[in-house]
Amino acid sequence: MRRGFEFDAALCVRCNACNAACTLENGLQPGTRSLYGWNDETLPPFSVYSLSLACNHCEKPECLEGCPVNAYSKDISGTILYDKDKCMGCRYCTWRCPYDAPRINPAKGYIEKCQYCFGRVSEGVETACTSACPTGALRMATKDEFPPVGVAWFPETGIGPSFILKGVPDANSPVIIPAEDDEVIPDTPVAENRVMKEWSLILFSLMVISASSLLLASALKADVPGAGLPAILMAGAVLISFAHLGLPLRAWRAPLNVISSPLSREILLVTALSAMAAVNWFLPGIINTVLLASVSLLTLISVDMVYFASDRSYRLKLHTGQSFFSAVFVTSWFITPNTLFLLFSLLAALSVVMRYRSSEKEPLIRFLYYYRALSLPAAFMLLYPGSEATSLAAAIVFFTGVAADRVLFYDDFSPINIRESILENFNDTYEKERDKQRQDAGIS
Amino acid sequence: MKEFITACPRNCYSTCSFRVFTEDGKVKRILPYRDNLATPEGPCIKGLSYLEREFSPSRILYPHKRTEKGAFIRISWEEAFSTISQKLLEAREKHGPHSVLFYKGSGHSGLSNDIASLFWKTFGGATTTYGNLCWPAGLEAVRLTLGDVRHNVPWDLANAQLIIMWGKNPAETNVQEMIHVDIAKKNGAKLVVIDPRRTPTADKADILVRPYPGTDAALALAVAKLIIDKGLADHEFIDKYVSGFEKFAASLEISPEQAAKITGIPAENIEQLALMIGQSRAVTIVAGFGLQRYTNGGQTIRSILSIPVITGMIGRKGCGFNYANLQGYIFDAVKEPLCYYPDHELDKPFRREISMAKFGTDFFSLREPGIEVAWIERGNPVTQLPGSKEVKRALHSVPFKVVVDQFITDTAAMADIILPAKGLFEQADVVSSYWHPYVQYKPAVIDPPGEVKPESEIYFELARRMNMEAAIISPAAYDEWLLNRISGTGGFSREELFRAPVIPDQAEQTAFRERDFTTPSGMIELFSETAEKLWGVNPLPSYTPPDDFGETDLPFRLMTPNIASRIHSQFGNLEVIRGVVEPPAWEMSPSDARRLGIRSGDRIRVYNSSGEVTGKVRVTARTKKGSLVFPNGIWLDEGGGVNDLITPAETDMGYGAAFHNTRVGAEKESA
Repeated sequence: MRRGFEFDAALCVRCNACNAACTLENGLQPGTRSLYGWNDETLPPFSVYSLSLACNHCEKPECLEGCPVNAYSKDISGTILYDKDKCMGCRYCTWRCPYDAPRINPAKGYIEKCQYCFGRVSEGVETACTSACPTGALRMATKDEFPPVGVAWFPETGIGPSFILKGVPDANSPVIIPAEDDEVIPDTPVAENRVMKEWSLILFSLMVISASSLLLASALKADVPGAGLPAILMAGAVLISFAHLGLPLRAWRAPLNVISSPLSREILLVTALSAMAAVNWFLPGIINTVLLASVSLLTLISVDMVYFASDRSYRLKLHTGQSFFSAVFVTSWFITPNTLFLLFSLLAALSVVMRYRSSEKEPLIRFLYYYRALSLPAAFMLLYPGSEATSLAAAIVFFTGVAADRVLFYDDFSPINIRESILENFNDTYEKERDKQRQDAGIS
Repeated sequence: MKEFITACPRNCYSTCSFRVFTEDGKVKRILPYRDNLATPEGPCIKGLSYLEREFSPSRILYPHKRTEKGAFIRISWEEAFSTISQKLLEAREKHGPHSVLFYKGSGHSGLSNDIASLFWKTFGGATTTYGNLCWPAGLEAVRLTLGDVRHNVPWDLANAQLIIMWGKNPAETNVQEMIHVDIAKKNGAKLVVIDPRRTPTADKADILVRPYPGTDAALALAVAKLIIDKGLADHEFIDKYVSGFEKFAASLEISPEQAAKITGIPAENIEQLALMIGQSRAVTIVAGFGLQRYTNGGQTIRSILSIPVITGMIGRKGCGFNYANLQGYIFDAVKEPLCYYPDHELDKPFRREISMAKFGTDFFSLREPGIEVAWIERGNPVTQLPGSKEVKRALHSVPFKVVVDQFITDTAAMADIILPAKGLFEQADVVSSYWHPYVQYKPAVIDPPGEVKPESEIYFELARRMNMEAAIISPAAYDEWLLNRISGTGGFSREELFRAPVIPDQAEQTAFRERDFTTPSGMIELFSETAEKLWGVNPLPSYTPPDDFGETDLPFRLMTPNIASRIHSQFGNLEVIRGVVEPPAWEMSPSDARRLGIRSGDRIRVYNSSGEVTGKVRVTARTKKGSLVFPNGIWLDEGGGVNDLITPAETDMGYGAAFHNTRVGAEKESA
């Protein structure tokens, strides 16, 4: 038997009692059980209803699979338990969970999440949120098999959430009298700005990309600096990665889940590469350059896998700002400043142009797009005069362009997230309805 | 853990029963009490928050006095009692008992409050307030029409075919009523909400009718006329039980088109509404309290009530007019609304009274004596009374003020002495609801924390120092007094009441099933001479536009409703509430916002001749064009002070406060 929740959207009045009850019972921060709204802006003629969601205690939990430190476990009833004393605050589970169930507690540095009122339920008492619901909209549910939720905006991704959603088709859209006399336009969803929040990850990955590229290039071409600089860059990357953690002292746990966590693998490879780069610097020649290059390649791929596991879109998989492609550009700069480089450059510029959608971009991001697209032809042209000054300028323009693309990668990175999924679905519905109304008006 | 059944003593329809579990002198858990048919599910967010509220680090646990520098310091009970008793005796000696103001709010209900009245009576009387901020215009309207204020039990709503929520938003203010609405809907009932706002209740409705604020009577009378004209009135019922029908029918001149002009509701929709009501077998109209907080509020409720009267929907299952149900109020000699009125016989000789609604203005007309000492309990007049500026000025002018409260509210912050108030778990009491018929025993489940004493004990200790203790119930005798107070009142034994909430024998599941209308004529009075005599209003239900207090040129009607996370000014200070609920904001319609160039998150200045308030805006289609909405009861530290804008004025009957007549202007705050 698996345990989860059953929610009837037709009965929920969004009173927040479930949210408060969870906080009061478990001492967790407000929002551990959250209320999401369909049509939060109450735009006519659409229905307005809410979804109360905490953890769905999935059959194939992404949080558990992705957690590098093995802080998650599954008990016999399928409840996903979580040990805050093991958490290092890397927030990877928040990227992996499509329901936003794990939440970082910024004050404490670790993750918090619904544990199905573990102690309470084993006493035979109902979970706090369900017992608190004043309209009976939220209930405990125990089932052998939970059927698919089957609502367009509810991300399922094949992980088997233990969640039953009812009442959505019945959720009324009242006839409003008098009809609204003005058109209301929904706010476009403001996606979380990952760029500023993840500065430490951006720096970390840029350093790994640079170091790996140098190691790759030096394996391919003897006159590339392949000793000191990569070692320093890798050491810097490791240091900066600590800034990303809520509880850096627990970082030693990071490789524990190498079996299933892409993050564990990445951390393991980054550590190995750092060590090898250091050895290569102080004891040159001991490590085979091909081996170094291979570990570099594996490291780059492992960095990308961390992201691909959280955001499975092709937009990301084809992104020129991903570690692997970035390293290919940088390596090509060192080994072939010629036709191949031009080809790569044009491809990258094309990709940037194709990704660009102006309406959604903040000024900084828009600038980075322009800069990235122009940096490639600019660097290429600066190479031709052949003087030292112009060549240096070309290098600067080229490398900052690659860095810009890496920043854009974080802007484009968007793990599946219930809030954004609802907003995007609602906005699509809204647009369709408006187009239909306009068409009807046009025809008649 | 020990388990008890208790009840929430707040000024709230639901007055939920719930179970509490205690351990080591603390309440550890709150669970629903499923056998209360009205509130079988969980308590609301406020009820849950008692887990924090009663044990909050900001709760006042000791008596405090204000120092000359204005800070509060802890003092002993001895010092508090002797200072207060001295001040009281001195004021009575020099200026007479009326120089003491006794102000009570609705913050804690229960029979224990009787001891306060007893104290002030024994003291020789005091200056008190008459009227009530909340609901009396509607109570009086129902009393004038039906003779008594009651309605069918809440769970009878499940039998309705058509539910009309008229100005009521139970999803926020009486959330357990939605349980019964949901059952009715499952049985096929239609839900119509009539409200200028698109409330969370309206989100569940089949039809939402949004009239201009204060014009509900015009809509109701147009519907009544259509019902009569279309032959949908129940003449058999009318002939038997209704007095004044002919006069009423003859007085109805309002056409759907005229009503459309007044209310903004298209004529064809008014006809549709009349047909829905007239052709349905079981209609329950549930009227809220907000729509009677207007200068025409009592007449509005009489007008709406005329609809179930002429369709014969009184005294039947699934039918009726649900305004308030005082069937659980079995202990009171004088029931609401009569007990709000000045000079009723019971304690006439003792009291000098001023209007609660006009406190700020009437206070300054008090002469010989002026107010020397103020005692304020169960209330927060600074945030709750209309015209807060004047209220604050009035309180400032009082030389010595005692406030009894659990927290340093905006009112308590003005006190000279703050006394800690008991929490709901700390003294046995008996609580009734104005929605369901249960009488509920609320046991003492933990000892008061710190040096908190129940008010009954505070009064006794003061009385001892003022040679009045013979008349006041001693702490040792309290439980016995409470039990004597309830014995023989409702056909239940003490033991039955201790065990679980009880429905008194005299309470009817279907109110007025016996057609016992205790009006002067013994019939339902559409034509009420009493209305004219007592209040100078039209003896028939009628519509007069709501007063604008001379500010017709200001574009917005200000509405200050109650919201789910608070009861008036209570609960909003708690961490759990502040953590879980969005902070309060001024709600403005999208079209008004566009016209004024305002976006969500901007700060606006809201003003009228009484004052101005600034705050953040939330642009939302929930608010009707021409309205501004800000919840009442927000403390000043959270951007409250909205009552600065409210003109102190009484409703047309019942001495209520006409909060929602206020007009305001608004503009983007210049940076």
